[in-house]
Amino acid sequence: MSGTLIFWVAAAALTVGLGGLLFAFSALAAGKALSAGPEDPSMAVYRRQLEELDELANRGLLPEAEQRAARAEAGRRLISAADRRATPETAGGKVTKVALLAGGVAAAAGAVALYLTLGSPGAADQPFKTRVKGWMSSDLEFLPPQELAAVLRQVVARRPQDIQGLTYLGKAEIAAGESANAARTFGHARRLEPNNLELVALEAQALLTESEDKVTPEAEAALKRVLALSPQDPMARYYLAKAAVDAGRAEEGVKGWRALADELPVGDERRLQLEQQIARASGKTSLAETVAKSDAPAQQAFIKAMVSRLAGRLKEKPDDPEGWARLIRAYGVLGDKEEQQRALATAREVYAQRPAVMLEIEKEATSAPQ
Amino acid sequence: MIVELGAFALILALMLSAVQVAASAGGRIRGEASLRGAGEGASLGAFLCTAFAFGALMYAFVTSDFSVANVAENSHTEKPMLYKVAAVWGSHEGSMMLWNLALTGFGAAVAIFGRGLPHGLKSLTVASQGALQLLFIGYTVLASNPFVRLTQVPVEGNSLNPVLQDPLLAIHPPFLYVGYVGFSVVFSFAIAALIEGRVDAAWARWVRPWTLAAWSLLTVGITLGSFWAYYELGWGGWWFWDPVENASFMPWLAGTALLHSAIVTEKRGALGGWTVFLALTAFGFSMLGGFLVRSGVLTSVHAFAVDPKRGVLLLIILGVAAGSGFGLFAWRAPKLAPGGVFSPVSREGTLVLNNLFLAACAATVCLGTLYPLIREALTGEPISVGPPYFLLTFGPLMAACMLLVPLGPLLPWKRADLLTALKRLWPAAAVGVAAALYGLFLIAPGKVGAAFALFLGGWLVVGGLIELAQRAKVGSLSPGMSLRRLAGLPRGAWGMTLAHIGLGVFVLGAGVENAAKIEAAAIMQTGQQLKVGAYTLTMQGVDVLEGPNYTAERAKLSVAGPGVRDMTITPERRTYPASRQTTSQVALERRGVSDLYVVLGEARNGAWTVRAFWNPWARLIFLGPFLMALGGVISLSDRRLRLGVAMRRTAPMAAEPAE
Amino acid sequence: MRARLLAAAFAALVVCTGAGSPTDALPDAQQEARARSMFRQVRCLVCQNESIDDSEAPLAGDLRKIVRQEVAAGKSDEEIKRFLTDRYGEFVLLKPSFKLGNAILWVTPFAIVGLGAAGLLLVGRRRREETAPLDAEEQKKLDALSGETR
Repeated sequence: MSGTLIFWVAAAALTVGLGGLLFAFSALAAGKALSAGPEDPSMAVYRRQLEELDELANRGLLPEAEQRAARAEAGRRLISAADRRATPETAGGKVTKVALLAGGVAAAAGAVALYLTLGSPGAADQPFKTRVKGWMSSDLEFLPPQELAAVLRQVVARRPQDIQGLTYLGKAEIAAGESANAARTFGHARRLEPNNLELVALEAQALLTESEDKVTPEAEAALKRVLALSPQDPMARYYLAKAAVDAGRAEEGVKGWRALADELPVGDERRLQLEQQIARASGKTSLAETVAKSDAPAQQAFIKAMVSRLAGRLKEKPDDPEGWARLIRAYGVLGDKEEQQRALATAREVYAQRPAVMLEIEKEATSAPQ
Repeated sequence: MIVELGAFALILALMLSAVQVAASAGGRIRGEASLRGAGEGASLGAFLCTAFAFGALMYAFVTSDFSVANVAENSHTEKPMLYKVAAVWGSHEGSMMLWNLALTGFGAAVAIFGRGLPHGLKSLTVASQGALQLLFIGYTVLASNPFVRLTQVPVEGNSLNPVLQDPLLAIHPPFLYVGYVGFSVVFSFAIAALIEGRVDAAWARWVRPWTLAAWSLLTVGITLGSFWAYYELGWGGWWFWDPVENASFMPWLAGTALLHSAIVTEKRGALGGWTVFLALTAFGFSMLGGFLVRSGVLTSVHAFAVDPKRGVLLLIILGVAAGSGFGLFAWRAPKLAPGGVFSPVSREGTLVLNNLFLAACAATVCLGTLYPLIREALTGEPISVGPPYFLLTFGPLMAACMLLVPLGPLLPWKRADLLTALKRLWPAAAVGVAAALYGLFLIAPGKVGAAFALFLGGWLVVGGLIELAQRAKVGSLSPGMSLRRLAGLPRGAWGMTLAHIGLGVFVLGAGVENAAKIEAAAIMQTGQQLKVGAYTLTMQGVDVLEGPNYTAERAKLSVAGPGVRDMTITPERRTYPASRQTTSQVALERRGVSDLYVVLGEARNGAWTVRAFWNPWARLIFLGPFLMALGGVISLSDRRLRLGVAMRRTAPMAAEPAE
Repeated sequence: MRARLLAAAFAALVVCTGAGSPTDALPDAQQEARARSMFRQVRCLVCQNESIDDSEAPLAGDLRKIVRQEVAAGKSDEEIKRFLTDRYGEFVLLKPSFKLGNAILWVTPFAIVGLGAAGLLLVGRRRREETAPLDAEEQKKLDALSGETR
């Protein structure tokens, strides 16, 4: 039997079962209606209240006058309830049965119709375990990285000490864009084999990918571990120097970069890039400021064109807090106070209803340019 | 296939709700038992279908079936099993499923256990419940369906918020929702009574157990939520007057008022219209809470679902349900028979005052929650209504209400002597004053508010005990006789007293915690010390640990202080790579009813920020409400309140009109 | 940036230094206590319903610095509040001001109690009659009804 067929059979069974329940309840109530007495159920409540009052009085907890008044109230409730004796229910005739049947069938038909428009009839369940099994039995080489990582995770879970498995898993995770997971995997492997340079370096790389090249304290620790095993490792030296520059210790950082650059052949592209970074770091000023300060009109024009492009874009799509912050800051760098005020005013208009966002823009715009 | 059957079952539940409304209403109009029975059967069927659908959804979560959009969005294979299950109600769609499950469950419960009810009232109640089911299940099926399938099945799910990965948070929504929705039955009873034109003592008796059940569950739900905030959010607060908390507090206040006014209606046949109004209001507030939390109107931690389209739909549902309820009330209430006379100094007099204060409190919380939204919508100028506002408005109203609490049970019905009752309460007043003086001079010098809270706490707890002693005639009877009388007291009496004492316990805890909390913080290196109150913490170092789906920094701090020798506490900071979030795991060390509360902060250059609190009597804040809920459950077990069971007669010893 | 705002708000919830940070406290304990009580009345603008006392968002830190400076400069609570509302609007205060525009907010709670109590007194004065005891006919009916179960 196909899955869809099984589904419809089960759905039909469910529906019919519920219909049965409905009619069973109906028949049961009808049967009782014939035998039930006509007394209003509230009378039981009031009788009980009267009893309670009598008991209270018997125990001397209620003065006679009060008991008489309370008894009178409860008694009148009982009397009026008795007067109201409800007209007994009838069992309900054939018409009712037909109407019920019609209603039940209509409800079932409605359910099927609604389900057909909203649901995916017969769509199979896809538990994660089943899917992983499927991937495992497929050709691993052609498996996309995320799926491969999922499979390897299962393998590693069974053999947590398997360095090779962990390494594959970490690499698959990197390929799948799960750098945080990869860092964790490599970290786990590294703790098993602390002197394995490959693992230590992979962990550092994963951490740097995760932080988008920012040297976080975790990354710094990892880089130092790399350096401990391989004192000349260029990646570790480069990033540790960068960490120093970012932390405000420009001199120390530049020294590191300089040493690294000197080891590279002249004309190597990496060396050129390093030189540029060294220049920027030792100048301590940002590129934008350098350009603004220089008198070269071509550069001024370039930057102005960039700024006006940004301004144009913001006019079309004003909801871009970061854009506004950059624009306001750029005018500041260019020294155009008038435009800066105008941009600030426009941004305030845009964010009149969201003072928190505006505040953040102002903070961002006035912070030191990078 | 199971998932699809769940999807089908949910639609079937919707259709059965329609049958439930039509058959039950038809049964009432034509006076035919077979129709009424069919309505009840449909009600049970709707519950079974919803339960099946709920189970199917849970199955999808447990097996990490990411072909279901809702699972892919809200789960993750690395999540521990408990949180896979809890993720079922973590999302908007799933929480609506939980709501529907409770709604149909209560409908079926009325249908099955309401055997002692008049047929007309019962039919209309079941019909009204069915109409609510139509609204909410209809919304779920059409606008918030959790069974939508994906054609592109992702490999991994998007995990739930790690702050929400906590055993307490996993279990508190079910309590909260069942409590919220419990008031739907009361709402339906009110609708039925208005249509029947009969709100009398018997009606109040029938409504009371449902109110008690909903109220007790809601109390537990709110308390669990508050305790979660206390230890998870990491700054030691337990109530923030956050709109989301207010959303659950409003129905609680209305429910508490209802609990008390229903007693007056039951015992004296008075206040019928007011009780009906409260019954409508309690569920109205529940729906308002659901709307506030689920529509994203207030974006706060709890409001995961930010989707204006659904918000508008929920608002329409709220408008239709509450609007028709109150419309019916405005139309029919003037025709209800007025009943009962009473003097201001009597038990019913204090209950009426209690209702006045509770209603004002509920209105205040509602106003404080909605005012910023309304004002921003009208004038465009946002304002904040925060804790200081509630302290100044809600605070005095609630305090006045609490002053009345021990007085009520000591006054007889109808006409009472205030002086006699007050004379009996002098020990409570004395203990209260002593506690206040103790607080004023020793615990928190100069803090008048806290001293007043201590007075109230003492007044409530001792007042409750006096009330018990009076019932047992302690002093005028031999101790043995008194003990026997105590044991023979009806459970309703025990429940009430326990709830009132629980309130006192809560007030004591809140007062002392607020007044005498000690806070300390330091940036600590290994070996450094931090003093908080009488305790000294010494940093022993920080380890890195691997959790199932997180990495944790765990600090080891040794604690020295009164009654503590070699104790180590381990606050943690957890980082969840899948969602790139960090949470703190508070080290919570209970000493008696007080807490030593230590939080690990950020690491900087080999040192860690550590914040420590000494929260004296903090546990009473949570113990009190649990006692209140327990009181509710004990009252509920009073056989006089049991539904449907034919009242067995003759129980001379046990029967004493209690409440 | 929006995402970052949210992230900041969230970080504030889960991370936990904030006002208690040991390095920022004012040297004068009394002033520090006043500053802390002010913190509880000032909203962290980028967070959800949190005071700057609880929040760890950078903006809350800035506001704490401002409040501490003002307190140290000997400004009164009122002056500090005015300073903050001039800059950030009334939104920044967790306690809405007692002005006419907010009258509904402040008066309603007490008006409900006042009006309710007045209404109760009126009704109470009107209805003071005693419950009449059951007359003979009622008593007879009642006996018959109670007898059904007795």
